[in-house]
Amino acid sequence: MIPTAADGLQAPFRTRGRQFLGIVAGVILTPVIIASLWPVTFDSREELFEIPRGTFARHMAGDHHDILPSEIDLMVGVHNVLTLKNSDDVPQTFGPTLLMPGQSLSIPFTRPSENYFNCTAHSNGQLLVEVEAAPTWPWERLSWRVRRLLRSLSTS
Amino acid sequence: MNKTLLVAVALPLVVLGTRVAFLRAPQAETGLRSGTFDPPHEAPSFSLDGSNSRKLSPRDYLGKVVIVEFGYTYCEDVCPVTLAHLTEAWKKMGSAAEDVQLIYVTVDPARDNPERLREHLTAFNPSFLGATGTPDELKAVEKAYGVVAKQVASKNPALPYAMDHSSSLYLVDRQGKLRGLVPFNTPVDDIVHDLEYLLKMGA
Repeated sequence: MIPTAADGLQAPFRTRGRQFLGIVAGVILTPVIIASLWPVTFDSREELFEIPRGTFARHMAGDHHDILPSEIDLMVGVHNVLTLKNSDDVPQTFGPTLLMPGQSLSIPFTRPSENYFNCTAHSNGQLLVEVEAAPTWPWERLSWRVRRLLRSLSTS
Repeated sequence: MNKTLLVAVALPLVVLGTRVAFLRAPQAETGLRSGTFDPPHEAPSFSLDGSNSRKLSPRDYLGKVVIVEFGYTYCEDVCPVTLAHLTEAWKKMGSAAEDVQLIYVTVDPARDNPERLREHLTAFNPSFLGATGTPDELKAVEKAYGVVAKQVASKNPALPYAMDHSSSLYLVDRQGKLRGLVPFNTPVDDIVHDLEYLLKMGA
């Protein structure tokens, strides 16, 4: 049925109004649906932290730049391997252990947990590795992505 | 339904379906379940006073798998849990545990003498051995393993102080190479898996 002026709006305006609402709904719904249903994946199961070559020399020269953050977030089954690599020329205490030049330590975490390691690299002497379960339900994925977005916005 | 809305809902579902179809299969489990050193290096050696009334070194146990643990007998949280887990692991392994040796290095030489270590460890498992030495000797061993240990106030008023210390276990293979690092509170089954893996590897 073709709308007439008696319907309150002129026909072209009503059609454009519906299209506009559809576009707005699409713009809001599309990212929400994708963020809810898209599986949480990472490029690698590994979170790598590396002591670059020359770090010891720079440290001795007064550069005390932190390589390892005090908190590391991992996810069971998806992104759950913490790898620490010493690419410097001298042995380095890195995270929970001493690593020889060229050596790495890979620790897989298989359960949701909070893991505290004593670590001389941090001013508070502790490294926290927080391992969370992979989100399985759509709202969990959405919530995880929103939290991640907010965190990245707050740190940038 | 509005065509635009239909497309807005259908498009992400199509994209999602395509993405799911190309998801990688989970990786098969290989090697140790605990932390793995790559490449493995010789485990730092030491010679300390053993709870067996002899000088004690991990080198004495070449041919066995050795676990090096750092702790102290007055520890009220970390050490009792770890020692209980290891006791359970020994039970689960049965006779295979005869080829595994625990060396428990104290971080509290002022209170942990060989007798005190023997008494404490025997309560968990008679085969567990303790090691102590002078503060300088122990600091050198801690440094060699990257272990942190420092004196802190005790929450227990009956004790003059406590020790805050690294809680991981170090796994040394039959050839004396440092292979793995077991984080605190790792499930007993995972510890058993790794010990059996190392035993088979060097058999």
